[in-house]
Amino acid sequence: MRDMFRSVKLRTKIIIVIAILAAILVPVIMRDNRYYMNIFINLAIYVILGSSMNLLIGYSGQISLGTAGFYGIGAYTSVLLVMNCGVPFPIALIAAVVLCFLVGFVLGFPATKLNFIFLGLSTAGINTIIYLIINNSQFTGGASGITGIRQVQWFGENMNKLQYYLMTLAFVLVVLFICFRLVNSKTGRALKAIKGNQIAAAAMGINVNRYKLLIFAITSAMCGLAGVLYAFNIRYIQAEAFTVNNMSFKILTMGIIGGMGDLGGGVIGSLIAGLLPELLRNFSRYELTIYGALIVIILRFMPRGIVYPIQLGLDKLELLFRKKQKEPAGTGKEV
Amino acid sequence: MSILIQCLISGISVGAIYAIIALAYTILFGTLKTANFAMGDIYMIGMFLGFTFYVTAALPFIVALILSIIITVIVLLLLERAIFRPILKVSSLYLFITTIGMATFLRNAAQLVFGTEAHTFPALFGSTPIQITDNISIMPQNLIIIGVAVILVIALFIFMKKTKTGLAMSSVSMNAFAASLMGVNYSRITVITYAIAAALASIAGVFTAPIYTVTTTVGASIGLKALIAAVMGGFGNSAGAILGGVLLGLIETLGATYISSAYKDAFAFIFLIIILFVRPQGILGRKSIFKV
Repeated sequence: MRDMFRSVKLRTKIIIVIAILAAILVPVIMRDNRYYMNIFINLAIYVILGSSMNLLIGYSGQISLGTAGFYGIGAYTSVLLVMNCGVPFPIALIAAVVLCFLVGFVLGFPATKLNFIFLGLSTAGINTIIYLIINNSQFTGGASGITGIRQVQWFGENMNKLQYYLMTLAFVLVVLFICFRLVNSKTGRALKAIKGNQIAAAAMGINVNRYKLLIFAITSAMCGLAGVLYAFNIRYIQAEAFTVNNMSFKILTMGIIGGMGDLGGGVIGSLIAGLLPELLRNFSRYELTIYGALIVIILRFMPRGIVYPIQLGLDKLELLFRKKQKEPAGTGKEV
Repeated sequence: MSILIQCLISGISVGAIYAIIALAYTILFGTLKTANFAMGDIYMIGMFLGFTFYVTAALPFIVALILSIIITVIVLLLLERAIFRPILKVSSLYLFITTIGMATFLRNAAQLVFGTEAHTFPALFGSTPIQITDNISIMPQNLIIIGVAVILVIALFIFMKKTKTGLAMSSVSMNAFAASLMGVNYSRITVITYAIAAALASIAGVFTAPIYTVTTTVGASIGLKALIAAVMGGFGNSAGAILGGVLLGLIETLGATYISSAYKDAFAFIFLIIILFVRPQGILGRKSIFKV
């Protein structure tokens, strides 16, 4: 475990600590503004979604246009369990995540054997089917959705927005930690090999389908978790929130623009994609146009994502910093 | 019985539309091994151009058709040159994702340009259905589309088998590297393939405009269905695209009539998923082996 963190640069560690502190402190300062608190909670949920997509595309070379379907399964399962069966929230949450994992696992069995074009198409299909079932069934409230979802309790009291945010943030950190462990382990190395060359990886004795299936199921569970957190924050869910054309595409954008195959890239991509509509509130009808353009521009001009130039910049800064430190001792000239 | 026959007729009519666009997908994939998710929106652009020239500018139909084909081809070729080709050099997965982004961009940008309202495009030969018997009828426009589809398939077949360019395209589809060693100009083939795909999408757009109302969202659903049809039939196989298109049209119409119309969109996907899981290469596709 300690070995694993040793691979992380000091610079990255400092950035992570600052990011976590900022993620806790800024909302604590702004806790009275409900509008901002909702944005913070949504951003945290987006980070989970974006990281799941980043893990899927960046580390296993698969693509899913069905993420919004799992997001919806998570939301509806937990809400129906709490509202109709009176199950406590934590148990409903676990049940929803487990269900999404299982559904992802079962669907992933055949799906992971397909190449990315067919995988994209069939996951879009799965999403559409889930959407149609939600939209046309009695028990999900049909097209009008479910309103008045009960608030989450915390020691017998309704959770306020800050508490809810901190809970969501805790989930984000847990999810990111799991992702980090996953990619810096035997599994992660196997995934890198698969992404590099599937046939070569299989020849080296890596069970390609098993690893792809594992990642597919884990990302489904992550989307399910995000769905639960979304439903109990907004407390009103509707089938329209879980369509391929809007939500799955948004999740795809989040996972891609930061930088594929880079956990930090996933987080930054999600934050950018999540903040854009808030910054461009007056232009909300341009939202999807901008997302589409973002994907095209990023993949065309910086396929390594937004984090890559930032990393290069930091590298240069570090180099400058080191040189300045060394110059007085005169070591710089000898070498 | 008459309901069934009516279903079959309208299923084939819809299937012919899917088949034309499926051909556009299939020729791109078959030759260049790239899947372009944005073809549905290229189809939508063709439809809007046809509408602009035929209804707004009141040009003769044939002029409107040719203008819209030319402009659609230019648009797709520009996109190919400026965006798709450089990205394909990086990775074909990235290209696929880019075309998804491109599809969303085109659809929503078109909404900003053309507005959200639905326009009607007058049918070429009136909108009184041709009565075959008392209960069975067919729209003249649907007959035209079936005819156009048949002509396009035959033309494409002759082009692929009899002309030098068509044969060069076939050789590229078998092995692009070996073909370029044999003197086939790969980038010329790329341009021709994209041009044919854009022309097919645009023809489909102009001819189907009277059937669907002209809106910016039509490309998303029709394009996706056509892609499903192409994949079902065997991606990269022209005969498969036709078969897939007609099959998909029939499944949808029969499913909507006999099972449930609310789940109409689901039948296509359920059938697709079943086919992909049972026979991943599609109905008529040849199996590609990528195992150790």
